[in-house]
Amino acid sequence: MPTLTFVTDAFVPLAERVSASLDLPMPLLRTQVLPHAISSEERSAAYEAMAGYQDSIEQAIFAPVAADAAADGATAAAPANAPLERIEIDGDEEAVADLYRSRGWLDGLPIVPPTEARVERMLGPLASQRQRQLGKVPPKGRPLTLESLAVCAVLAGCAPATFPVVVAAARAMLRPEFNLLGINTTTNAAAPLLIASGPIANAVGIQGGNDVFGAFHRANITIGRAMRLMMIAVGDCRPGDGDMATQGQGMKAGICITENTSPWEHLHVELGCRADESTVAAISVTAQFNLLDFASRNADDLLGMIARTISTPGMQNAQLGYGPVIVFGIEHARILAAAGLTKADVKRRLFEEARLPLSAFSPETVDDVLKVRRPQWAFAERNPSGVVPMADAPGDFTLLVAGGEGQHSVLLPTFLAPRPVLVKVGKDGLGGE
Amino acid sequence: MKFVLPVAPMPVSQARPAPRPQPGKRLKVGLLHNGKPNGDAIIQSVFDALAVRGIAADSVSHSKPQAGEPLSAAMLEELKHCDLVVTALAN
Repeated sequence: MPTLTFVTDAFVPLAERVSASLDLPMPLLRTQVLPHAISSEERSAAYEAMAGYQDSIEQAIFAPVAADAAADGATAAAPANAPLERIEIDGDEEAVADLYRSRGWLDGLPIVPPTEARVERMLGPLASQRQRQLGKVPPKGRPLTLESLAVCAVLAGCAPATFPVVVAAARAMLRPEFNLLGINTTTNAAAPLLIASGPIANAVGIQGGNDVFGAFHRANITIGRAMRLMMIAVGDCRPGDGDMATQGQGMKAGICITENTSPWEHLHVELGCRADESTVAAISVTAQFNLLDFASRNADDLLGMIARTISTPGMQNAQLGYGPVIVFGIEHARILAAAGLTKADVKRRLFEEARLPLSAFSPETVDDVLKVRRPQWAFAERNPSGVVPMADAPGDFTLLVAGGEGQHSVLLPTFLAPRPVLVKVGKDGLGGE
Repeated sequence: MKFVLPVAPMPVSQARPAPRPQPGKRLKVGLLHNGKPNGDAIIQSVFDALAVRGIAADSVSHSKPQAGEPLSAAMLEELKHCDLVVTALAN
């Protein structure tokens, strides 16, 4: 159907990519560009600002679109799963990085140049399926082939042994419920957090102990970086140029962790897998907030400290619903488990104790956000207590146990993919046994 | 030495524009609000202007609960029956 889309000028690059992903290059998608930012203006001003566009709007609705405009924005007649081009480059490895960076395919870090031999080693037994598609990477919507993913993994510095985890991570992130379009393009600081579980995690060197979120463990950061390079190069998404994150955060460089020894069942077992099955789960989180408590000695005091600390109106799950991730350090987890608390018990306690009064939110936030996103808590007639929990239900908290010794835990608010999207790795990352 | 490029060229689009509404026909307009502040004011302003000019006769309004989430199938189904959809992207 004919559609007229309004977009502010700062978001035109994103609109171009989304329209391409819909097979509608911009000349076909009728847009009207407005000066940024409409959302922060007074409502009456936003309404009246449209008066100057009435003639151009009428023209956009009725004027015919040139048929040859359909070809604009496409670069070549290529099948969706064409083999990747090889390019001869004279010079040292910096020349390779300079070329790839000039084409917008890289992050800010040095790369491992993707020679044919390195890509073959990365593909390993999957080389015969190199043109197999795993899905389309938003916002541009380019098809992701195993070969393209292998190039991203080489560029990121992945060891070939980790490629099954890279493949599984891509499969999880391309599942519709992960909403990679939203995560790759939002103004929010959201970033994929990957959690590898089962035997594969230790087998390929993914760490769950000290500095689990730091940039110290090769497998942790290179698997995550391969996903970021996929989002940049294949998704065609760079800062301010499709990726509209206002500030971003460190985890956007990419991170894949595993859980440490835990007094509770690991995430994949909680989600219905056997302990000896290898899985990768993806969830979308914002920057971490350290939950310090080195004094509390019993579960009630510790949970109370954590519940009160995560109860803050700017914590996005307080406004948008679903629930955050809590990554317990192993000492905190031991205190809770020693008191006989299961994961379900901890979730229930956090749901009941991590709450804020409605008065903690601005009136505009209550009217424009909470009443839309969390109506069950925002209207007095439906919530006479007037207090708002930090998750919509106990099960919306995701609990992990990771990190070394020490009395720290971590709050990770979620955004757009608030529940773990889990896939089985199988022998090659494709899920088959 | 040969190096492998990470992406293949995009296939050529096969899309063609939707038929334009016939001038003179009074349109049923779908208004899709993305959930960002003032997005609804923008598209309502467009509808009101089209109504004053005799172009728009009727409207169907929907709001996404959050900009980053896709349109629901039920909303899409209803919007399919409109002559024109007006929406707003981003901030």
